[in-house]
Order: sequence, then C-alpha cells, then structure tokens
Amino acid sequence: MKKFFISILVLLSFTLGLCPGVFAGEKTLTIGISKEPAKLNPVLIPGIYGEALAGNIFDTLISFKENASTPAPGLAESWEISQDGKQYTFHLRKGVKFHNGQPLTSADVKFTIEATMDPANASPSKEFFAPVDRVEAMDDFTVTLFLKDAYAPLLLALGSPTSGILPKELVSQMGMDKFDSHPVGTGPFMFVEWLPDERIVLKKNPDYFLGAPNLDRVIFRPVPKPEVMAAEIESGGIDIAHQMLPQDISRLAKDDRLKVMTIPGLGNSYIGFSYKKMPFADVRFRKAIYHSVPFDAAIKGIWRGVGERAYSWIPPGVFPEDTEYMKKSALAHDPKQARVYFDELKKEGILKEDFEFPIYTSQNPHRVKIATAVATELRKYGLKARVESLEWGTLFPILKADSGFYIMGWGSVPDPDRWTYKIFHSGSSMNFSMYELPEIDKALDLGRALVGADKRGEQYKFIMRKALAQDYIHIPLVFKSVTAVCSNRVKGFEPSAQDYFHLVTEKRNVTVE
Amino acid sequence: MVRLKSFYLFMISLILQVGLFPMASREWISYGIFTLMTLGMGLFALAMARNKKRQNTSAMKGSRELMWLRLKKNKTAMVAMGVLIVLSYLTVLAPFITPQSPLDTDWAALSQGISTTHWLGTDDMGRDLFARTLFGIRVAMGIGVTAVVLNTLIGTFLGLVAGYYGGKTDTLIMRLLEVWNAIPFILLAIAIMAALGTGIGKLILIVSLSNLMAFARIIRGSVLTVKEHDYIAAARVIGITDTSIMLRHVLPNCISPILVLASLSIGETILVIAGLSFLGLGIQPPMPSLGGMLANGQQFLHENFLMSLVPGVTILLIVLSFNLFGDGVRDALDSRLND
Amino acid sequence: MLNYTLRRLMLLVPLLFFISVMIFGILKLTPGDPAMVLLGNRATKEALELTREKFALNKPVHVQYIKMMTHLFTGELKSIYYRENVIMVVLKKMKPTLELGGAAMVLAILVSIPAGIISAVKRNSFFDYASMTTALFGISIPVFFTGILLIYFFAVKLRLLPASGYGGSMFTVDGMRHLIMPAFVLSFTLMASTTRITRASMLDVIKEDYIRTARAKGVREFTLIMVHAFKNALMPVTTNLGNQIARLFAGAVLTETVFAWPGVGRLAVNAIFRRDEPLVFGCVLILSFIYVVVNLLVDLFYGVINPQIRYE
Repeated sequence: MKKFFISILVLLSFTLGLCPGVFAGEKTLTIGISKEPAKLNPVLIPGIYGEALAGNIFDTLISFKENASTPAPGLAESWEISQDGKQYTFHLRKGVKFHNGQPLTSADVKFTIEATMDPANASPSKEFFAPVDRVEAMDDFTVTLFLKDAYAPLLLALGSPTSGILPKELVSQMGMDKFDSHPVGTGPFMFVEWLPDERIVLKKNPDYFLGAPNLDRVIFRPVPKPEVMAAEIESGGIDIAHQMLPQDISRLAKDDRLKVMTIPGLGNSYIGFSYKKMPFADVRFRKAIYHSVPFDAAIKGIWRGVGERAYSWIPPGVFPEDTEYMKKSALAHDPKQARVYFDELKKEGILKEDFEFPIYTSQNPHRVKIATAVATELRKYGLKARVESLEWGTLFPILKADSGFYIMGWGSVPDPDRWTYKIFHSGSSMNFSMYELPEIDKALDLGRALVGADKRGEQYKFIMRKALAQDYIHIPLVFKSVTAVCSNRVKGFEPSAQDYFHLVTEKRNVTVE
Repeated sequence: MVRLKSFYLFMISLILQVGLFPMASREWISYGIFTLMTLGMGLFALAMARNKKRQNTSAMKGSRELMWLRLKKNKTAMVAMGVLIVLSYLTVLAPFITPQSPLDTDWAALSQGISTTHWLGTDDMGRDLFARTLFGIRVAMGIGVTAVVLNTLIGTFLGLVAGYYGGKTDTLIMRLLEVWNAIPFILLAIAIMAALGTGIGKLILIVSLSNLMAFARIIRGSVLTVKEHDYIAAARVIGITDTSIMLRHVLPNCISPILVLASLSIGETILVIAGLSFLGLGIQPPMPSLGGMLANGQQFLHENFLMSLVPGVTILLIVLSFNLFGDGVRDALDSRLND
Repeated sequence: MLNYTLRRLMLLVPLLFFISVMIFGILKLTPGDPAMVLLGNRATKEALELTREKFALNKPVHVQYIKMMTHLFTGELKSIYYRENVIMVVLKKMKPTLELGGAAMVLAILVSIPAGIISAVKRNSFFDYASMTTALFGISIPVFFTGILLIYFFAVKLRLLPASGYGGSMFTVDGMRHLIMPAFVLSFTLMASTTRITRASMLDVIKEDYIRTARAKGVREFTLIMVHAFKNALMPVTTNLGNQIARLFAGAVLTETVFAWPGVGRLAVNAIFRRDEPLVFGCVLILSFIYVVVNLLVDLFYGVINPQIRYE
C-alpha cells in the first residue's frame, strides 16, 4: 500500500514538474470560446460563433472590424454607389492572394455572392442579399452589384463575416460542405486543423495584405461552462475569455494579471407576447405584466453590469436615437394598476382564474432567471406561470408556432433595419409574436428602400413607438454589453460590439509577450 | 423500546398537529398528509404494544423481531433512521416551518450571508436559502421515494414473473430488459426528456425506469432459489393459483434484497436528478430542487459559498442516511454476520 | 467456450435491432427540426425544405429507418451537423473517452480493491469506517461539484494542473496533466461502489469453511487473504466493474462537460440537443454494442477466475 502511494507520488511529481514548453519561441494565443462554431464556411455560417472566428480566415469587401457602423476598405480599395442606390461598384485590391496561393479576382467575389444567393446552398445569409438582382465582374478587379430596389443595409451585409470571399476554383473542386472543414481564405490566419469539441487551430499568413500578423498561431478552445472559463483565464490556460458570468467578471477585475474590458454590445433580450392568442393578445394583459414585475430592480440584479436596461429595439448609439421618448413610455412597477387590469380581464372572461401558462425561453442563464422572476411575481396575481427553458432544437419550432409568452434575444449590426425587419414584419419567420399590422409592414419596407437618413429614421421611430409604446407587444429588457477578459500578456486586443475576435486589422495587430 | 419510540413520535406528531391547526389552511395538502402520518403512527404504536404483549408470553422470537434487534445494535443505522425521520417530518411540514416563501425574490437582498431574516442567507435572486432548501428536500424526497417505489414495483413484478414462469417468458423479459439496459441511461433520459418535454411527472417516469435491470435480476435470482423449495411444490399440488403462490409464498421471501436495493437507489435517484439539472433538464424553475440549487450555486462559489454548501450538505445528508440505513438493514437481514 | 461465445455474439443481432428500433422511435417522437437547428434562426423556408430533402427528413418513417440502417452498415450514414460519416465522428472521440474511462477505471481499481480488502479484514476498525464514509461521499456529491472544486483548487489556487480541455494523447506530459483531474473525478463515483462490493464479498468469503481450514493448516494470513479469499471474492467485483466500464463511456457526460473533454458522451448529448438524428442513432448503437461486448468479455472472464463455471 505504502509503496503504491509512493509510486503514485513519484509519478505525479514527474508529470507536474515537466511543464510544457513545447511551442517555446512561437507566439501562440489561446482564446476560450463559449460555444463551438457550427460552420466556418462563410456561406454556411448560421450564427455569431462562426462569425466570431471567420473574420480571421476570410476577408470581406469592406470591413467593419474597427468601427461597427462606418465601412472601411477591406478587399475592396474603394467603391461607388449610384445616385438611385441601385448600383454598387467595388474596386478590388490588387495582389491579394488566397492561402493556397491563388490570386483574388472579381470572379471570386461574384462566385461568393452568387453562392450565398443560390438556393441549393441553403445559406442562412441568403435573405440579406434578397434585393440583389445580379452580380457582374466588369474586369478582373471590378465588381458591380445591381439591385432590384434601393437597399440601405447592403454594405452591412457585405461587411459581415458571413460574406467572406471564397476562392472560386478551390470551392468548385471541393464542394461547399468539404470546404467547410478545410476553409481557405485571404485573411490574416490560415486554417490548420479543427478537432470538434477540442480546438480550432490557425497559423499566421505571412503574406497578409495588411502586413504579417504578430502571432504565429491562434488556438480557439471551446469551454462550455462559463465558470470553468473563468477558472481557465485565472489559471492561465487561455489568454482571452468571453461570455462570462457577471459574478466572475467582478472577481477577475480585481486580479492584476488580467484585464477586463467591457464595451456596449449589439445584442438584446426581450419578453414577447403573442399578438393573436388570448389572453396575451389583449393589450391590457401585456400592460398588466409590465406593471407587475419590478423590471428595473430585477434586471440590475440579474445582469449586474453586463447589460443595460433597454427601452427600445434599436440600441443606443444606433440611429435613429429615440431613447428619451421610449424611456418615458416604459411602464413602471405598479402592482395596483396591474391588479386593476387583471381584474378587468377576469371580469370579462378573457383571463381565467388560476390561468396556467408556460414561459418559453432558451437555456441562457440570464433569461431563465428573468423568466423565473416574472413567473414568481405573477403568482401573486393568481397566474400560474411556469418556466420552460429548452434547447434550441425544441424551442424554435415552438416559437414559430405562436407560443404565447416567451423571452428571447437578438443580436445584429448597427442598422435599424436589421434590428426590426425580421422581428416585426408580418412575413418574417422570426416574428414570434405574430405581430401583424399593415402600417408597420409598410414602414419597414420603406425603411429599407429609403436612402436619406432623416426619412428612414422616422420610419423606425414610428415602428418602435407603435409596437412598444402603444401595443406593448414586447417588453425590451436589456442591451447586453460585451466583456472580454484577457491576460496581461496579450497586447493590442479589444473586444468588438458583436463579440467577434478581430486579431489583425489596419489599426491593430494583436500579439503576446 | 420500539413501542416507546413510536409512542413518543405519535405524541410529538399529535402536539404538532394541534399546534399547527390554525395554520392548516396555509397548505392543506401538507396538513392532510401530516394528519394521516400521525394517525398511522398512532396505529403503529398500538399494534406494536399489542404485539409485544403477545410475544412476552412466548419465548420464541420471530425473524422480524430478530432483525429489528440486530438493527437496533447498529448505531450508524439508527442515527441514519433518526435523520430520515426528521427529514420526512421536515418534508411534510416545510410550509409551516419556514417564515419565508421559497419563491419570493428580494432584489434588495441578493446573495447575502446568514442573518436573522434569512437564516441561511439568500441566493442570487434574493430568495431565502433556508426555505428553498426545505422545499428542495421535499421535492427530492418526494421524487426520490416515488421513483424508487415505482422502480421497485415494476422491477419486482418483472423479476417475479420471469423467475416464476421461466422458459420463454423468462427469456423474453430478460432480453427486453437487456435492450433497455444496453442503452446508456443518461443518454436515454436526455433523449426521452427531449422527446416528451420536462416536468415532474416525466422526470419521475424516466428515473423510475432507470434501474429495472438490477431489481429484476435480483428478484429473479431469489425466485429461482425459492421456487425449488418443497413448500412451493406442495402449494402447487394442493391447487393454489400461481398469483397467490407468488404473492403469498415467493414474494415475502424476496423482500429483503428488494428493501436493501430500494433504500440504496434513492440516493442514486437524487443524484441523477441533480445531474440532469446541471445539464439544464431537471426540475424547471421556479420550483426549488437541491440539484438545481447546487448547479446554480457552484457558479457563485466565490461570492456566496452558502449557496453551494447548504444544498450540497443536504444532498449528502439524504443520500448518506438512506445508504447507511440500507446497509444497516442488509446487515441485520444477513443472519450469518451475527456471530 | 467457443460455442458459447458464438451464440452470445449471435444474440447481439436481435439485441441491436431492438435497440435501433427503440432509439429511432424516441428520435421520431422528439419534436424539433434538425434542419432548423442546423441553419439557425435566419434560414429561409426554402433552405429548410432543401436541407430536409438532403437528409431524407421528409420521407415516411419506415423508409427513413431502413435508409438509416443500411447507410450505417455501408458507412454512408452522415451526421447532419458534422457532415461526416457517423462512425468516423464517433471513432475520433473514442480515444479521449477510452483514455478518460480507462484511467478512471485503473485509478478506481488501484484504490478501491485494496481499500475494500483491508476494510473487510479489519472490519469495524477505524480504517473500515473511514473508507466506507469516503466511499459514501463519492456517491453523495454530484460529479460536477467535485469537478469545479478541484478546478479551483488545483488549477486556480495551486496552478498545478490545467483547468480543462484535452491535451492530446495520455502518454505525453501535457496529455497526462489534462487527464488527472477528470479521471479522478470520474473514478470517485466508481470507487464508492467498487470498495463497497469488494468489502461485502470479501466478508462473505472470509466466513467460508475452507478459509478456516486453511487458517487452521497454518497458511500465512497474507497469502490466505490475497490468494484464497480474494480470488473467490473477485466475481461480484468483476461483474460490477464490467457493468460500470461500459457505463463510463456514456455516463461521463457530466465530467466531460465540466472539463470540456472531447468525449463520446458529450458528443451524443450535443447530438441530441442538435437533433442530429443520424449521429444520435449511430452513437447509441455503437455505445450499446460496446456495452454488450464488454459484458460478454466479463462473462468469459468468469471462466478464467473460476474454472468451475462452464459455458453451455
């Protein structure tokens, strides 16, 4: 027995003593990601986890990496928009090469946009290019997009990581699916390997057109549990961590080996009601719920500084600014008023005594907590709400079939169209509330087509005021802020509002010491 | 000794019962169950007393009494039993004990330490930890016991039928159970949860189907040995039906392994539920569950250790006492260990 | 013995058939749409339709089942999420799983069999109580909680071990360092049952007459325990281990989640969440197959330790 323990101890000390210095001399950055991306092929990327990485392998025509609202040159050196807003011409940078050595030409750009629009590829980003009529390569380095109608958010769509330019020849040979596991782009880092649930490894592209990256190697490691993510960054296992719990952030902020950076983000959470299903469809019911929950206190207690109270769908800082008005029309915590509404509804027979209903939400811990808080408060009024926090696979079909009461979120780029069209338009699949008003639809369509800022802005102000301050179809909860924690050895990294990891841009070139 | 103990329990219950009467409307189900418990206790004490009187006259001791004598000597098992009795009282009386509601949020008092208003502090949503733990015990014991009882009944039934009839019935039942057993349980549970949705009823159903194989195997084994005894053959010869042979003669002889296995698997059940809560599939909020509280609490380890300590210790206490009590019963049933 | 083995292997076919039908039934009962999960919330209707077409999700149920079965055997069954052959996807995750499960098993055997024997021999001693209590702790504390405590202690406070993740093969230094904590956590639950069963069956055996006889004949106490008693107490221990070893592959889900370990358990759970029907189907069948084979091996092993057992 004793011998056994001694041998174990010896073995342990051996393994512990030999700390790895394997990649000594190489500058390696390890980033913890809370969820593994589903796809790396820009055409197939369905959500932010893929987008967060793709910007390092691929480049887009124009870049929003440094500023989320003003476009900067990317693969296109310059561009022109015709007077009527229906023709976009891009002049490509010369001498840019893909990781496999092939030069970038306008044919690749044409191919990429057409691939996104091709129904056969089932691209999740297809809709952003719906107004595009055709793409033409004018010469080797000039590409023109012809639109059916003017479409204000087109530049944002082209600057999104989901529009990273693919090498035409290679993709045609490999096929879209296979390319997904061996992506080749023009970006600052080349793809090395992807071991699912383990890591994604990139290495430096010395020929990057903005200059060679300082880092030799970047490793993205999925760490599914946020509390383990905190332990990882604290123990030096990773260099950059994101999407952490507020209580961990406030603890890590005190650690002088770490740097905590928080910026306002571009994601929200909201409560939604059905527009068609009783009793949710009655505006008094929605107002009563707004009155019955102390949202300010609850949001502060749940998000604790990783989110700001929201009053509108359009984030502060994104035009059109209307926070004053929206804030004024938010309903305060007022149990008496809530009870008046509930009693009225009960008297009219719209609301049954002991009404039981589920609150559907994702497994995001903050949303589960706010749902719990709402359910708890509603019990005081004799409403028996229960929280159903489901995984996406079950949740989406339920939401699309008019769920009644749900708590969800959204994340997007700084343009009002992207924040409203899919949520409020009657024809959209993301309109979980089944909100349907002709004037709203009209305003949404106008907002897309109008180019002048003033008139466009008015449309969105109207939509927000009508939907949120008259109909109370949603209760906006928070705009999340983005917090990245990085170790002091990382230099030059800044979080992005969309929670992307931009490592090399015209202004920065992240490195480690 | 026994008589005195159950008599005292009865008296305590009765006093509590009267004392709580004014609050009975608060939660009439609990109060009703408590009334039944008190009555049962009274009857039990009475039966014990009569039994004792009768047995005092004879020098013979029944096997049950011998077992009880052995169990009484085992101090750990007795302590475990005491804890279980206290826990079951807490379970039933939870709504009368706690001054706070387990659901009410207090946004002005988030994750606080021990204080006079909140005896064990509050959690991250300002809910009283003491109240939540009490109700958590309730849920854990409730689901645990129900699931294990169901599990025992189904498993015993299958094992009994398979063992008694043998042949093709046996093969069929055991093969089907093997299929059931070959699929990794946690995957099966998650898949069923995904298919049927979450909810207490479904949770009980899934957990109660988890351990069938173990029950069926053990029961089948003891049935096979019991079946060979002469008295079974004799019973069959005089024309007693299969059902009553199984119920009257076979089952009582298998009762001890069933009891032991059942008491041991309650702990396991509680942990399975905790694990499912960790994966986001357990008991849905706002209902408090010990596993869910611990899964939540471990995210606040640095901020408020009580949030993990309290549910953690409670789970430990429940599982430990069921296991120790189960061990004690097993030792007491095993006559060979008595030398 | 060969006959017996062959017959048991033949029984595998109906067994796996039943399992496949059952898991397929559960999958089909599950609400949710794999296409929707795959394409995310932006997908258009036609894109969804197309994806469904591609993975035959819109065909009648029995056609889907037959297709899935035949594809599994021809090796064409592709995961919806990984777009790769299901068997390959599972096999890739097998290595970390085998390492984790194997290390946990070895650790459990090394610690709990000696502990069980000593507890039995020195029944009611301090050691007995201490090891039995520790064993009970092992089955009373949820794995995820032990895991996070260890991470905070060894990774954050002491900085001795990496907090989570897979460090490559266990025969490298880095791989070993990553393996220690998850293997320990996983083995903790195993130790409990193994120690208890070892103790119990040793107690049973020690009472037997032949042990008394041997003792009377003057056999050394150590030899008596290790050779005469232990060999005969091994059977229930092996049964239990055989049962557990197969459970380890899938049952390690919680450990794998806490330690971000890229194993089969997590793969299967994620596949369920993602509604990746072919992958769930493949995963469950492969895991069940392993379970059955391991149990067969255990049964054969009985013959090795106890020549009295004959296979009919």
